[in-house]
Amino acid sequence: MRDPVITLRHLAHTYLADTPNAAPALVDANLTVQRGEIAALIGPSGAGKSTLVSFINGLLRPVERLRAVILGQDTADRSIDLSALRARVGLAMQYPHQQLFERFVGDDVAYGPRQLGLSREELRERVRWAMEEVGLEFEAFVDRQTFTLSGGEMRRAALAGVLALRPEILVLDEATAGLDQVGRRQVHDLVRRLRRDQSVTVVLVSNEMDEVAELADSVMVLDQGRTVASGPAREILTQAALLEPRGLALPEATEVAQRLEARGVAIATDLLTPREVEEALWQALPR
Amino acid sequence: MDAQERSIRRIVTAGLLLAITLLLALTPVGFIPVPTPAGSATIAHIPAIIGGILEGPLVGLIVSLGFGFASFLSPLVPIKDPLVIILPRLAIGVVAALVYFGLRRASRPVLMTILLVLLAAVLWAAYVVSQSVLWLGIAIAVVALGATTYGLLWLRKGDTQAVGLAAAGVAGSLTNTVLVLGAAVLRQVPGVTSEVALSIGLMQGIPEAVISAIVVVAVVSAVRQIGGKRGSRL
Amino acid sequence: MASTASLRNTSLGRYWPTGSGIHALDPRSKLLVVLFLTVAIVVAGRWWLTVGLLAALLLLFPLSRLPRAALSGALRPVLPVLMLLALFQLLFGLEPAGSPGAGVVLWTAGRFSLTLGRIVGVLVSLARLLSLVLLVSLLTATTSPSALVSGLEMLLRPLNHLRLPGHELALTGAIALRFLPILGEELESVQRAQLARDITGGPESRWQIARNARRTAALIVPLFADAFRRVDQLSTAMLARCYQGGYGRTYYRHLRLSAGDYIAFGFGFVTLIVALAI
Repeated sequence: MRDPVITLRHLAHTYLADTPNAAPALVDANLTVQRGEIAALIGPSGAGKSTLVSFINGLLRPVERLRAVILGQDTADRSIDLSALRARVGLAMQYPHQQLFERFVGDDVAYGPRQLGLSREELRERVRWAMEEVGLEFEAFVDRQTFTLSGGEMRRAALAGVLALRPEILVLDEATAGLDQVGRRQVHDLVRRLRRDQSVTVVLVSNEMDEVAELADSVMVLDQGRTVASGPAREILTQAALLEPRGLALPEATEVAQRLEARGVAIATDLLTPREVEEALWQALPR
Repeated sequence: MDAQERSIRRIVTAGLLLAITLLLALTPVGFIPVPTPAGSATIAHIPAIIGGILEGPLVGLIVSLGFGFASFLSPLVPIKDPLVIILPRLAIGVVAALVYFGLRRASRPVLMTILLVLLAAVLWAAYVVSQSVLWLGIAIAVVALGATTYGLLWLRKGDTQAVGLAAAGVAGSLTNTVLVLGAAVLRQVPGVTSEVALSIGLMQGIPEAVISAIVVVAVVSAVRQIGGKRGSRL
Repeated sequence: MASTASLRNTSLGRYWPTGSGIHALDPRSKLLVVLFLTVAIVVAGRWWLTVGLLAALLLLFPLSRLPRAALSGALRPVLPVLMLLALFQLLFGLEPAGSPGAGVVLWTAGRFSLTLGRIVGVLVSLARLLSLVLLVSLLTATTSPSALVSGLEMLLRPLNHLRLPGHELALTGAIALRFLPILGEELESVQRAQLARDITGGPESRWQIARNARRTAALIVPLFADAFRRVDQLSTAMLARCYQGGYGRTYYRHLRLSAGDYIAFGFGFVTLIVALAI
């Protein structure tokens, strides 16, 4: 059953239009994401990924109608209050220190849900839930000062602050950069858990190909403001000719599989993860 | 930290606070919407106050100078007399530094006494003013009583460092308001009579002072982990 | 909410590089001329001097090949407030002595009276204010920020010999300019982060004090935190590179004075003397 929660069609945006410093960030971007899907957005830096994301959470409005329909709302419609939409679309950004502003972790995580008019007990529970989801033990961290946290802890706190609003769409904008392996795996598990338990739709902006291969159902490639390719992950991430000229690489597992295949090993070329390669190799090795 | 380190730190802090001042003075971020006739209060003087508090009067002076220059260059400010826009502002950072250092180590009873003495002085001034302009005198008295009550309650919660910060914030902001308006009157800037200056001073200056106190406390206590607040509000 | 990209498009006295003769002048002479002319405008006693200066400044805009947007951009924000001030002075102000039409009453209504002299006085004040605004706009429109800083630093260099921290001041200015765009970008990201979690709908109002205060705190605190983080980083870097202060420092940029600079300087100086003398 198709239930598109994000529909971006021929989206364009120019910063500082009509000034000598005009800079086109998006020219013709297209993206459709179904509910519960994990969609990845990849592309070289400067391709316009962050601008695109700003349309998803209602930070930017398209000029023409039906260019951006999020959760059934046409964001070009000026009568729609975008702040209500922003409660349903969570954005985790690349640099967590830009988000944390309260002195104590608990207060910062509570900043979003506090505006929902919850009772004091409900608020506390919501914050507790969000913090536990990201792996910050509630009692230990709720009264910690945000500016004394380590980088990884800050990142989790920021993520908790986003989760606390229980968004239907979660956008992770390079949100795992700088995390160690364990931390990254925890975020991946969290993403899968959210999708499984609450049908949260996830948009993953990342240039970590292995991470994208691990998580994504579908992939859209953005280059210089244009959508140059989109489709199932297995289709997009395995085409070296599509990725490499844009400064992107194949996922490591895919590369290994394709190289082996080129050397004569009977292995498929559209493998994405180490596990798949392991399984395929096991089948292909003579016993 | 030796003298060289200190000197470097001062230069760099002044530079960065100057950059923030420029950002706040010249973009909409630096204006908070308030329910006054002017519609917004400026926070561009706050980096100067923070500079004075954290690195001393010299840094405060330099950042205040920068604030003056930014105001001078800003297309949004119609008054371009340097003696009104730049010179009086030099005192902002210095005053804030002095007030903070003076109050930083004061004990609670001392602070309470100071607060009560200030209240007495302001109430007397309000009485004098009310002889000529009745409503003004009453307004001043009401505001003073309100501020003092709030201050006393705050002191009872025991956070003396924060009080020092707040006082520095208020002092710095009032310096900005009083000296600039005073200079405008002295220099006979067209349209600014003493009555006009007084009403602007009260209507803009008081909200700005309150906002300054809040912001200074929030920023400095967050960034320098000063203050004894115990935990989140949950 | 205002577009976050508007931060780049600020009223920071936009610099329009058009390569005119005025642009090519040494920033030091421009700074000094601005200083002289500022004093001249402020002290000018005769109305024809004020008007003449205003006319000259207006002429300089097309002479520097600045687009019309530069002039309108400089005037547009100021005009409403100037009009208000003018109105005030018309109704309540004083009459400058020796102005034409002094004492000629045109109209009375109760306590207010309108004299020709006062009208002239208001016009002269307006001219004075406008001149200052235009002068400053001209400076920022024809001089790039880094040139301004270099110029300032060179002008302050003699202070070093007087054991005043001229070099340190210039370094402070250079650091400020260097980090201005960086902090600006940081502020944009912080704004985006704050907006993403700001879900109370409804119209913007200046009466919602708590909400506005929270929003502002969410912007300002991370900005300052980031700035202080950079202070730590830069201080450590400078220390590691054995920064020793300004004495004996060499400079990358060398500014040279040309004939045009001397002419401009002379013009400014003469104007100042004339204004002071009359």
